Amino acid sequence: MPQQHIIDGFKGVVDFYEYKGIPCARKWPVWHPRQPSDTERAAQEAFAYINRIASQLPEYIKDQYHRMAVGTPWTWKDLLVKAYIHGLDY
Amino acid sequence: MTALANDGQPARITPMPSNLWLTTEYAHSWLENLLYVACVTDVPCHLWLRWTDKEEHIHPRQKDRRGVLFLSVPDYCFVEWQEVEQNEAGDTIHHTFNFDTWGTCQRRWWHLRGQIGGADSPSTSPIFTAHYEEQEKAMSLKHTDLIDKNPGGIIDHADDSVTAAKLEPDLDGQPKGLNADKVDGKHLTQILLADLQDVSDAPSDGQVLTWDAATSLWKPAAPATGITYDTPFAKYPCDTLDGWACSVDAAPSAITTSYEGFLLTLRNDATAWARMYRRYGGIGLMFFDRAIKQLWLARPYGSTASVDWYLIIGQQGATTHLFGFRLYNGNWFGFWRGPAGTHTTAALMAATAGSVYLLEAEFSPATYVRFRINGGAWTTETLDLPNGVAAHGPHIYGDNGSAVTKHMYIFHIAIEQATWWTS
Repeated sequence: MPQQHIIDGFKGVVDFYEYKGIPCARKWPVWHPRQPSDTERAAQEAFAYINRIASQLPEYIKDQYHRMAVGTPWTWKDLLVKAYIHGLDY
Repeated sequence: MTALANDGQPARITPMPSNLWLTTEYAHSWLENLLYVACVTDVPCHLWLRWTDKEEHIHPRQKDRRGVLFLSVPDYCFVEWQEVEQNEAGDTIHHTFNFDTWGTCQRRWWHLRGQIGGADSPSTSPIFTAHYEEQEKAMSLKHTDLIDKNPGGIIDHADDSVTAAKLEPDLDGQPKGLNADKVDGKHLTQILLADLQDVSDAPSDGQVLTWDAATSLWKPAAPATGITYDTPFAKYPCDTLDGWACSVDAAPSAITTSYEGFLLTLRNDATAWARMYRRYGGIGLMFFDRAIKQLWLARPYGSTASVDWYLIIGQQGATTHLFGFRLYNGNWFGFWRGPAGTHTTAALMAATAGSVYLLEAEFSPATYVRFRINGGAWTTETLDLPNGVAAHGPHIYGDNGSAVTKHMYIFHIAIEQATWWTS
């Protein structure tokens, strides 16, 4: 392990520890909040919107996405979100 | 099931303004080999229905991210497609499509694409599919809107939609699962007029609902009264038709729902007269001869309302008179009345712009009646009955029972087909 004064020389809070005999250092993440851009916000709102109302859609429409999701690793809601925001590749 | 708001009603989807659209409701129903498709979107947009009869295939896709392959949303193979544009103009919330020429037992796949404000939107609907055989299952539901081929009417049921699973018959052969007698969770008998979105106000006593295209609302209004008669016909009164008293009966007293109204009354004395009727909502003729108390019906043969012509020939004594009129697009127009005398060739009034119809008759001796269109070849019918009326073809007539002295004959001529009506 490094000496304490070396550790104190680092900026911010750094954890030093040993993991299976290996010295490790971990810097605590710092979150720098910022306002999303217009396009980011639009994308976020669209994503939130489609996820919020997905459960309200008629069963018949959900059934179509369920049918399309068969045999793929995707869920019906994945396809719904893609169809709404970007369109599916037909 | 639909999520319910606090008031117990299905939660409304609040659209988000963007260039994206979402199909929030969908239904379809059949009329013979035509599929009516109706859907609702969360924002106004203009949709196209893109369809194919080639079965869809899924093509998995991978994306390379920093050297690692990830599965991506697959391609859905949609080939040899055609498009049907929505029936409504402009950007709308409600969309309908007439999706026709289905073959027997044919299966098709389709999805929706759209524009918002004339600009392409990236959004797409899921792929729908149907089999022509579904019609019988839909009809078996015996739901009014399905029978009326109104897909818009079967949207918004309490259980949200008509699904293929619900259309499947159960062990008793009846469709299962579709609670088609409810709308928004209420029985149809519980729905009030005020609950309907496109009704402005409930009508008061005696009022009817009329459609206001400007606001797209049903609005209360006073009901229309009376029947509007064809005023052009009144321009040709025949009250001097060589002793025949003829008039337009503008205010018939015996109008019923079965008959649209009286057209013409011909009368030569107090006991012999006849009236012409047009069938209510129809294109045939009713001819009633009071003297013999018979009602005759002349149905146009192989023609439509726009090309039906009728010709009345009246005969009094040794003199035959012509009185012609036509049924054009539901309206009646007198076009000529024949003078007294032995024969005549008369140019008739222009029936439509650029079209002149001629009628000629020869009655001394009574030999023929003929007509032509726009200077074309004459079509002649020989008058070989004792009273100078063609023995074949047109023979709806009434006889007032006084031998040869007074007769009225109605000829029906389907001009377009150049054939005479026969019973």
